[in-house]
Amino acid sequence: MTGEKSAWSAILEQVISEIMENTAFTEVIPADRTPQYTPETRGVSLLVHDPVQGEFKLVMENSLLKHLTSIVYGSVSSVVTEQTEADLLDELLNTIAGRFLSAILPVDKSFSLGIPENSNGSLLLTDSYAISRSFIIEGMYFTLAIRGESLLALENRPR
Amino acid sequence: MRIAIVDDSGTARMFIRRCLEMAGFEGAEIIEAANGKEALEKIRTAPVDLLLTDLTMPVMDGTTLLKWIKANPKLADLPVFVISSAGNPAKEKELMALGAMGVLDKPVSPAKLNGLLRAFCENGG
Repeated sequence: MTGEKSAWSAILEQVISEIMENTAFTEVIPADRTPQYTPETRGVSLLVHDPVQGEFKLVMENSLLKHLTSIVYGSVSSVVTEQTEADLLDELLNTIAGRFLSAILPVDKSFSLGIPENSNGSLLLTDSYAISRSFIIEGMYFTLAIRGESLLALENRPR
Repeated sequence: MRIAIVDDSGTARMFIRRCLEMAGFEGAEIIEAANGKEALEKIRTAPVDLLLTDLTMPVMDGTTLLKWIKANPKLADLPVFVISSAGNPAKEKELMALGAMGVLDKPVSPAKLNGLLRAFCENGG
């Protein structure tokens, strides 16, 4: 199903574009393919615990993560470490997952997320994720993927 | 102007700092805290003019922090804005009923923050 447009695609694209554009202050372009990521690619996973179960995964080219970190840290970018970059990736995925769940869950429903876990970005097996959308910022790619049966089942239920 | 930024993510705190700078508040003195408890300890000893807080944090979350602030006569007038990715209309209603001045989606844009803080300052904040 990877690459297929789902009913959630518009929501996902809007959430991601807004978050990344507010972070990078530049345009986010939906990509028509998921690139072949290299071993240097950074990745983070986040589990949804409640009210449904699922997983979000964010994969990003290392150069893009460094670019975003330099924007966020600006004049104090000399303090940036690999951990700082990982923290930014965690925060981005937390924000994307939170905003996406807020958009798809019933308006009075809260949710519970796990702790972001760093993972090898090059091991993004898109076939195991029901939804996978890639984007480009200044020529650099990132991908957001979602899986989990009970989470995905929400797509076909009225909000 | 002294502004408290409360978020368990150092990156999120840095991002809000950058937004404040870009929104024209580069001269503001920023006090950072990683959770509500730490924020309370800091603002009790060194009062701030405005507090921006995340919702989901360990030790003490943003909702509890708001309740503590509004229950303390010395802090009750402190304007509190919530910046979160976990908000929804029901939660926003709850936070506003508890005394929050506003609820903003993460990541807040410098333009939005600028508009909000300018309005706050013009209203005598």
